[in-house]
Amino acid sequence: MTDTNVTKTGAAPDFSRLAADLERQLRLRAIPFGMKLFESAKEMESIPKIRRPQAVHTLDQIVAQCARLGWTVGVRGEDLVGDQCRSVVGLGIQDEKWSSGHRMVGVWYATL
Amino acid sequence: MNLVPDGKYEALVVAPLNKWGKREGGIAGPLDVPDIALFYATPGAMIYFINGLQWKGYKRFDWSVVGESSCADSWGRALKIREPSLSIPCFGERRYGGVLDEEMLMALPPEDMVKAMEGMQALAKNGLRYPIPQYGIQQDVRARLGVSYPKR
Repeated sequence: MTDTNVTKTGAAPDFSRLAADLERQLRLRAIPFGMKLFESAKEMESIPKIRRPQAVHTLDQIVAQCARLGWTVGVRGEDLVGDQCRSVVGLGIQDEKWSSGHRMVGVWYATL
Repeated sequence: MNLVPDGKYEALVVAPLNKWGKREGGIAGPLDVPDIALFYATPGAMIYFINGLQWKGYKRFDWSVVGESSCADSWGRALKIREPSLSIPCFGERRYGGVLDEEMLMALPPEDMVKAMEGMQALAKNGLRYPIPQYGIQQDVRARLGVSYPKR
């Protein structure tokens, strides 16, 4: 196995090598991927060849577009359906009503 | 649920791990280092990866299962507390996110992924490798265990 560790020097690892080694070591059938939050949507949009959703999606659909199709995708809250997907990653409104889980009642849980 | 606090971030990016770390003229770009690295794998692969994580600086892991909304167990938790976070993907993640029946999800800081890789290398040198070869459910186990756990 190749040496992927650059962090002994404090530098960032060689991510290409890290990904290849992980895929080979664990016989992965989906692409390892990274996730990063941006304080500025403008900085996200500045990424060369960034894909922006053309429809409304769940965040796990966006994740799948990366892990299964190899896409680099950037999202803002309005690209995602509902407060559930947005709020887990801090792009939504985590108010008391949402936090109560009321939308799940009768669907996944009998009561609050 | 583990949630990233709202109000600070405007956007999120997901990109294949091999796309990160690119620099132009030595200057870090927006895809320099991810906040977290993630991968889907089978339970067998995951436990081997976890063994690698535990090779140095052992600690027991305690993870959450919120049920539906497993994203909070994986990327939500890892983004919030920057610790390895394993999840059993939920119905929604399988129905809409295309997760297969046999897959689990690991989310963790990239430096922990490096740590796990080094740990798996050490385990492999001890003869503990993935895929895990079957020994035989009716074989006398002492011969092999004597190799894995030599008398001290």
